Amino acid sequence: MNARRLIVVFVLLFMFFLGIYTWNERTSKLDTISTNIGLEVAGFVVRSVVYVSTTVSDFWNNYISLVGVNEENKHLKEELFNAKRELASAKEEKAELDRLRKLLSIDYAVDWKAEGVRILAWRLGANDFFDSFVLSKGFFSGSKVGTPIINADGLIGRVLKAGPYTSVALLLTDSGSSVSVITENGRVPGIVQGNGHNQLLSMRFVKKNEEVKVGERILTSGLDLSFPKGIPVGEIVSVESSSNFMFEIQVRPLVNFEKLEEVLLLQNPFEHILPEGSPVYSPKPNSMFSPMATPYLVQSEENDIEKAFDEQANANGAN
Amino acid sequence: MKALNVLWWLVYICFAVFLQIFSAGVDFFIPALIVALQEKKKVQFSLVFCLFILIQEGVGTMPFGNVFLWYSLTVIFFYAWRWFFEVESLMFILLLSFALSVSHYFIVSVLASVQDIYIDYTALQDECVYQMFFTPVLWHGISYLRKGFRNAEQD
Repeated sequence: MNARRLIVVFVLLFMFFLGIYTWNERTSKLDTISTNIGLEVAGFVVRSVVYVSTTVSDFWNNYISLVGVNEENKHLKEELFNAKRELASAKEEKAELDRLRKLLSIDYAVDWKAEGVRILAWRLGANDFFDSFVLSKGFFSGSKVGTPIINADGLIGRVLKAGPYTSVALLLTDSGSSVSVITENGRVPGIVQGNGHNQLLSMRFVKKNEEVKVGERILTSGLDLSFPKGIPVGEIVSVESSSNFMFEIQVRPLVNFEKLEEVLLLQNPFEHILPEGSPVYSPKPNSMFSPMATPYLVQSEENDIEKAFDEQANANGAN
Repeated sequence: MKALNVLWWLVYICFAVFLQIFSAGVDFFIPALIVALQEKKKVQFSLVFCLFILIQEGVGTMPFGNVFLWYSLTVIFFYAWRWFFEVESLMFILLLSFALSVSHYFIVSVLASVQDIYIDYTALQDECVYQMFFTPVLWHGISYLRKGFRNAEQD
């Protein structure tokens, strides 16, 4: 290949790239194809590796390494006894809460169905630049784009992209992650945003005249219908005055992201009602990038919303 | 024998994905892509090229395009470098891996700003450096295995 031919190939390739890139920006077709094929192939390999390693470690733990099981059993029985006692007390409190809600006529009949899922791998490959992990369920088994992910400690993140049997989740700590929240005691609303791996979260848009205390927990507000209301997100570790009329609040996540193995996916009962613009990845409003630019994955949601409106209009027309 | 060759590449894909579980940000497909280029089998290279792109774009979190551009540049650099060095020489692979790491940093930075995505540039720098060291080592290993495989195929 001579130099002239190489330059021509380079120019043609660049033009071809621009063509498919802009086409994919509009349609997301290539993203869908690569997710359905590439993510599944990688998911199959990782799932096999996890299966083999789990089988070997289970065999070791269940049949060979039984030292200390008796002691652990005793300890677990004690824990079970305490948990049962706490459960009985919690049931009483829930019954009371239900009665009070009925009295106040507040509609809380929202049931987000939880489904367990295993984490297959953390950041996979050279094209994964977000704080993310790979999950063992895809859109055939309840893991859709935007599905909230939690564990017993609190909120973990949302599903960013989903293949048939494998999906990729965006963690709460990623810089492109944002959640609508309220403080537990003061009921002060705000937006929590990630600052990167192993960094504290930032709570934004809290005015200086609001009552916010260090140590107070923050919960999901449920206002955007993307998350159920009341999931613990983090604990306030510092509240500082900034130069403008807002507080600068730092929040420590309640979940230990280093020790996650299994998590829960929450199925949205509002799936038939599409949320108004809730992208999984959203750039920071004060970042160097334009806040007006269309964030990743918004396009497909906008298309869904337009489609839903069209269907609604057609149904009304038919009636 | 073609079936064995397909099997070899499938086993390599499993191996590369397995390695990527333990080393975030490093691409284990690039050295195999260079080996496929060196073998000068057009059909084999085309299939491997497409499959590698699909896998890396599929597991990646950025919109489609980043890996496609990077792997395409690998092909262009390969042909450009071939004028100056013997394709199986150490100098060739060292310079190629350096160029690929620099181009990776450049492509990701440009596309991240175009797509309005925040990335950790310090981590990206580190990953590019790891990539620069991993590529020649893996390339050497894969070349050795492929030579052994081809000899066995001829026998």
